[in-house]
Amino acid sequence: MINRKKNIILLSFLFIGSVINACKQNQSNTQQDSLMTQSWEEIEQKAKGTTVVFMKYLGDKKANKHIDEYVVPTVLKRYGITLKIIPGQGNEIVNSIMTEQEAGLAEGQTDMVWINGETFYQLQQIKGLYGPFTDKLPNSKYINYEDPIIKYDFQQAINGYEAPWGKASFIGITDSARVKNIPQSMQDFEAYWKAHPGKFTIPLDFSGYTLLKSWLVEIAGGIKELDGDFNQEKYDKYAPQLWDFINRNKKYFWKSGSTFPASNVTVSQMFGSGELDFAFSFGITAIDKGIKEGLFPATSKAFVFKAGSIHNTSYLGIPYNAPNKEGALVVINFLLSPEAQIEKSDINNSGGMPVFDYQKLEKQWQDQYQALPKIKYGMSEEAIQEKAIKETHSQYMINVAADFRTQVIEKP
Amino acid sequence: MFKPFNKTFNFSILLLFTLLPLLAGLGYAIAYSFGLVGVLNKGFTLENWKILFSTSEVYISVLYTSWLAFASLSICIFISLAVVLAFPTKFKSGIFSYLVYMPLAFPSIVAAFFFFQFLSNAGILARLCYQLGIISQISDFPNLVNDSYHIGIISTQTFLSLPFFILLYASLYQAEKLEDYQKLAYALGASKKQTIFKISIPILLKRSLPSIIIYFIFKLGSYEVPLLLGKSSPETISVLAVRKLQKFNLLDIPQGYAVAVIYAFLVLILLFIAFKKSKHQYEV
Repeated sequence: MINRKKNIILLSFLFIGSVINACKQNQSNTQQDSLMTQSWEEIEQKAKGTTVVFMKYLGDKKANKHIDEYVVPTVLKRYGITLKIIPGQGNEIVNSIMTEQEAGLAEGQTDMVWINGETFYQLQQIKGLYGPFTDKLPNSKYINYEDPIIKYDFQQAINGYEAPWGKASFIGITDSARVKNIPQSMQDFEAYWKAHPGKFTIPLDFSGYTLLKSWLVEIAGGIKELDGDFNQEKYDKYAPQLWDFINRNKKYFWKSGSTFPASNVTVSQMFGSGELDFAFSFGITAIDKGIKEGLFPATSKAFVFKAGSIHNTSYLGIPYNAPNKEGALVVINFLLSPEAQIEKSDINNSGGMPVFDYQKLEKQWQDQYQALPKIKYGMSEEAIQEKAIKETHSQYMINVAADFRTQVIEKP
Repeated sequence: MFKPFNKTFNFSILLLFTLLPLLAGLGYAIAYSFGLVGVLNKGFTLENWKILFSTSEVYISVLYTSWLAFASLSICIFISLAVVLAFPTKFKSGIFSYLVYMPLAFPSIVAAFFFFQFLSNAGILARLCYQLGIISQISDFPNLVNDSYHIGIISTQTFLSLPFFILLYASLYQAEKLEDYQKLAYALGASKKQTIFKISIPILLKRSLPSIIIYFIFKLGSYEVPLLLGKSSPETISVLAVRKLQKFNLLDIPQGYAVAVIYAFLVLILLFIAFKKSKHQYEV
């Protein structure tokens, strides 16, 4: 009995101890400015023979192949850097850096991360990124940092805390054999849903929320109305109209709108199998890739929603506690080079649009870029660029995601 | 002479590898939910708990999770009891003793994907029914995944749990010498029905109660199956916690930890009951 009491007391102390210990964690954010005073040659020299850990999304086979077969061997051969890829995206990256920060780790596990919009916003909230560093990169000369699609990541100025790696544009995908007149406006969609019930749904992920934002922009009468910082008044004015639009039509959605798939991957699979008539993507080469892989029917077609194609850029960042910042800078600089960007833009690789300013390229790179195979099935880069609109502030995404649950999913 | 040393050693091992990480984790989750730790937290607050309980989300989630675990386990226990009582010696050796292990080789996520492909509206079963002329259009196939009756989740959970219970009951059948009891009952004039319902099933259920409770706890924590095969609402407690912990709003993270704390206490209560039950059993 006494032993039992002793054990309970001991366990209680341990429990309290763990809480106190957790409270004492060092939350400081150390920035190593001395790194920026070095010359580029010194940085390259220091990076030689080191390992760089790159946390990125690994869900795209072709993008993985591009990294494994081109980027990894090239940086090893040219800069003597061993590039180690570890999986992680969005919230996983934030959680990983946040956990290290909460544990007070001066040196984290990751040297560079592939991020955009939401993740950048979250990492900035917790001061999780190192920077500014883009001015230090020699290949920054090919980038137009004044281009609003690069300068602002979800309406937040990047201020040198992340370097652009790829441009993406939100498109809808449909099958022209099944859908003769492709709907674009919300009104068109309403008519289509009524005529073809059960053939449409919204994934509960980044793609789905971007679709909701496209409609919010359409309701607001254009992106100008939602440009800039988050505006609660405007959100409160337009969002109820969006929820009303969805609630009055959700009975025509897949499974009568009683549930929504967790991700766009499921939506793409259901589009491929014919269960749905629409899917979504951020890559202009998604259709070519889908058809080649046998996932999409050969009659698949891309289209842009009435509000325009929400454009965003994905970026490369360096965590504040990256142990090998020099190595990360060298790899990021290589990934920004015209050579790596052209290789990446090839539809046989990652696809997508490069981040360089074509006019800033030397002739040899311009020719090489022009020689790339063109998109066969999707929309051309130029056609999408014409309809490109800026992303709204991150807070719109946060609100739309939360309210979609309370205003639509949880409403009978 | 070495007994006291052994006891301390055993307790230290238990403390180091089981209780300590568990308590540290629980302590951290509690501290996070009350705003004591965490990059974005600003000190002690009850706000996260207040927000969490301001809607019925968390209550519904606990009830829904418990219902799913209860439904799949009930079906599973029913089938496995029937199988073991009908073929008590089949699982000792031969092909059945191997086949029964098969679902154990499926990780939850693989089973979830398999059932999704098999039962979805354009899935294998729907196509088969269409080819056989049972339905005139593939879209006529009933909703068996992401459905209101949770058929997809319950089927998958049952499939995953069935081997465990068949093996458990098959071994209990031998260990408890049920065959001898049955023979005795017959000799005393009991009918087959009486033998099954008054002797075999009560003994098997009583002996397996701690395992049932522990398996129930295990099912409460399942994540992949309800995520892929469930509806967007209600969510199971693990899906709710992960959504709060990992989605876009970092300010929801403390609420995610609060959900985890609720789950942990629920599990601790059930464990306490399970140990009480198992202690009583062996005291008999």
